Formats: sequence, structure tokens, C-alpha cells
Amino acid sequence: MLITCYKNNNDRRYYVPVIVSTAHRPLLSRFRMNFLVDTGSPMTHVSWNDGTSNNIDTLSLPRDNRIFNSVAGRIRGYLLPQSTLIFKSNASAFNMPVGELSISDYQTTNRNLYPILPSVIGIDIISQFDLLFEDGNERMYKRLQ
Amino acid sequence: MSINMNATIEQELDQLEKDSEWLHSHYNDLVGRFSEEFVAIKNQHIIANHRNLDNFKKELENKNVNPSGILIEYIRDKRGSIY
Repeated sequence: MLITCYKNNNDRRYYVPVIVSTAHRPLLSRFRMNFLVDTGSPMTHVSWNDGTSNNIDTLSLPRDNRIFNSVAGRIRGYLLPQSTLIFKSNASAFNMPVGELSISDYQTTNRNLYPILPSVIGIDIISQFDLLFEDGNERMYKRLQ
Repeated sequence: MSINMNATIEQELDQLEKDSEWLHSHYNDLVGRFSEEFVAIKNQHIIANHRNLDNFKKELENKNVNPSGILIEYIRDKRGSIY
């Protein structure tokens, strides 16, 4: 099964289109996003700007007690429960339940504004795939179990 | 998941993939027109844009656009950026 990631002609990094689905009430909805494929990030997370622009009310969500160090500062976030990432593959829609999906806060732990950044697919999910480069696009390849 | 639900998801993924491919292949053009603005993309067209996120969301509301049915992106020149 192959999932295609798209190379951005500005920063030349690869992004993968994903529908994020949550069964969490009252959201109970789906959101379309492009995630940066980032093997340097330990974890997958939705950026605060992608969350806010998709009307995700973070104040209705439980806090994520973990603190992460990022290039823009130390940050905590929120958890979007009962989440599933839905990818388009060459076969059909591929649903990947991820449980609690982290959403970053708009400010760092010392209350500086966090920059507007892309959401990120980190190594926690990338490691479940093999990565191939083909025809200028990156493809995530998952072996069927 | 029901058959109808599957068909809906497949349609949404098709549209998302087309819009994403268009976004990333036209990004440099978009930087020239919408630098440091939020844009809403549907069917490979920009249907709303604004520099301020609150005003952008108001514009979507005024146009009766549901954010879950479009692709939203913040456009900026990312060349040379470390994140």
C-alpha cells in the first residue's frame, strides 16, 4: 500500500494530505490538513494554527501534561481524543487510529507567542512505514500485515 | 464504516489530494500573491484569504464555508527557514 507525499516547490520539503477524524464530542468531526513529513520530530502533532483555523476549540480539550522542546521554545499542548488519521493510498482510504492526538498551544511555557507552523507527522508514525522516493514525490509504503 | 460513509471519505480524500498537489506545485506563485496570509483552497482555487486568523475565520463564516470541507494553509516564504 502506497501513500503519496507532495514536495513543496518553495521549501522542497514533503507534505502528506490527511483527514483528521475525531469521535470526541462535541467536535465529532473531520478536518483536512497537510502534515509536514518530519523524521526529526519524535511525535506527530497538530499545530495551534491548523487547530484554530479548523475551529477546534482547544479549551474544550484535556491538557497534555507533557512538555516538549522545540526550535521555537518549550511547549505544552492539548489532546484530541479518539482521533484517526485517514490517508489516501493507492488501494483505498487507510485509517490509522492514533488515540490521543496532540495539538500545540499558541504560546510557549514562558508565554511567548508560538510561531505559525505546519502540523507534523513525526517518527512515531513514520516508523510504521518505509519511505520511497519516486518520480519527484516521496511515497510512504506500508507492508500489509 | 458504512458503504456510503466510505464513498464520502473517498471523495473527500480525492479532493484533498488534488488541492494539496495544486498547493505544493503552485506554492511559489502563492507566496507572491498571498504572503503571510491564511488561504482557503477548494477545487484548486483560493476562495478566501486574510492576514489575520480571526478575520479569515469571519470571512469563511460570511461566505458560509465550512472549514472541514476545505484545505486551509498559511502562506509564507519558507526558503531558508529551519522550521
